[in-house]
Amino acid sequence: MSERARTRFAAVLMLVLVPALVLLGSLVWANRRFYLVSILVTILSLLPMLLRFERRSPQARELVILSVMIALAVAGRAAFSFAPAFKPVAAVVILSGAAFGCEAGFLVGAGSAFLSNFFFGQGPWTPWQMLGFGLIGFLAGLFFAHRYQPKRLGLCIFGFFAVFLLYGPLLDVGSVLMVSGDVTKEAIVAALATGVAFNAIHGGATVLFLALAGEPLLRKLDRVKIKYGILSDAE
Amino acid sequence: MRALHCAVSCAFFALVLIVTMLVLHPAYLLISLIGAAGSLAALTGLHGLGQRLKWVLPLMLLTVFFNAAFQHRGVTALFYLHNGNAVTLESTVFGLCAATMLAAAVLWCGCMHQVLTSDKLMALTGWLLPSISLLLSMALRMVPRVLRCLKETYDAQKAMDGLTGPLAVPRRCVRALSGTVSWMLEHAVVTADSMKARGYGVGRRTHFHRETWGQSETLFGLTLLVLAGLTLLGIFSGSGTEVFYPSLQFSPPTMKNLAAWCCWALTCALPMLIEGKEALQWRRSGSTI
Repeated sequence: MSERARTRFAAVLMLVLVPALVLLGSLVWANRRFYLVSILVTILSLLPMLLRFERRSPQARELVILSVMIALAVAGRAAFSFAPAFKPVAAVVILSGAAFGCEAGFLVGAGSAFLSNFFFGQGPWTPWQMLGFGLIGFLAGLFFAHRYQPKRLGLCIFGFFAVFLLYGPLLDVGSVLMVSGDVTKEAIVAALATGVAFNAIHGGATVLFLALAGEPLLRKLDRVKIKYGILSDAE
Repeated sequence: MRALHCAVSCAFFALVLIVTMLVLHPAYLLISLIGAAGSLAALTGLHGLGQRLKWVLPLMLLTVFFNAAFQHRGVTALFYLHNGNAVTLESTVFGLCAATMLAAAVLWCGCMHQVLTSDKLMALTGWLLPSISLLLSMALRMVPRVLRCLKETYDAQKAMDGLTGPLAVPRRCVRALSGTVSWMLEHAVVTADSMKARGYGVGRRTHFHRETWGQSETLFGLTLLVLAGLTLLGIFSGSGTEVFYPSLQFSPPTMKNLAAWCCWALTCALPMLIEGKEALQWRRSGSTI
């Protein structure tokens, strides 16, 4: 499958299947089980990408490169573990998506959230983090993967908004679903308002990492891609 | 509990977590919370439990407060806020239940973290998602290697670049990161070629796991099956129904419901029973040597 067809297929999965699952969940479980439904929907929405990756039996080179990117993200989170909001995971995920495409970005995002929680503690929040970082990687692939060496400014702007408007709010809404069984507008607004500072720091950290290391790292990833023909059309 | 086959322990945690999240009846939740706390204490000691409770208790308080303050449904008003909204008994009780549910789920996850370690989880997902589990286990192995590479390149940079000033450390960090990335990527390609040379992708992958299915697994599995069946039967026959709004209605403690609650309590006590039995066995074997 070409990169283009692959991207389109993955986009359909993410943009059609997930909302359909949410709708189904709210119709079948209409009685205030938001918590369970939300976790199930989150896990289910992770599955299509994982199964698709599984079905095309990936090459050894692809697997190893992706695992290096995941390890980088996890090691980065461990290195900055003293400051919870200041972590480079989103930056690594965005760079993977930009260099290797939507699917790779999603896998690196979801994988690094899952693995880093072996060091920081697994819990009901794990599927949310997996989905959040996975989506960031996916979108990065959608925006940047078809360009040759995207500009630093574009990466930084995308990084900030992806964290500040997508990842942060997703986790905040997730925490509302976790702590209150009946979701009200006030509760969500309150959770979003209390999360603004944390999300802004997280977004700022992502911008900092992307500005400092974004272009050199992308050049390196591109070099490996071209030199060995990994994760490109010519595989 | 740690020595059991990962399939049965995974089935146990799946059952316990799903029932905890599904049934919001106070009796079920309290039993689950006590069971989870006891199991965590049995697995990690009181210190481990205390470590978790340190932030689970504030989370519970926050949950109760959140529900009482933002949810104004229910018919029994306790008092009125200055903006005219009522704090109701129903929303407070709901908050208590949600808090207990959340705490129980978090504590069960803590137990799961102790029993299902990453290697067991990988062995378990190995037959379902072989590539993903290979990907994750390789990444897990590479984390310490990345950290070591970072340190090595950083030290080498420091020894030779002669940078001074406030920007020296960030610049060195970026250089070290950049060097580490190329190092790891080149290394990755070599690893991949080596994998390919040894026949990666030719046949079905086999997996290394030390677990064997013995007598204790059969015993635990059967016990779990019976208890799970009885608990689910109890739930579906109405021993765990709860209505919060507009007014509170819970299943009363009749004989039948009490029996169902006992089954659930026994299920939640399984980790404690196993750990207790093992501790007793250990002590007894020690005294005879």
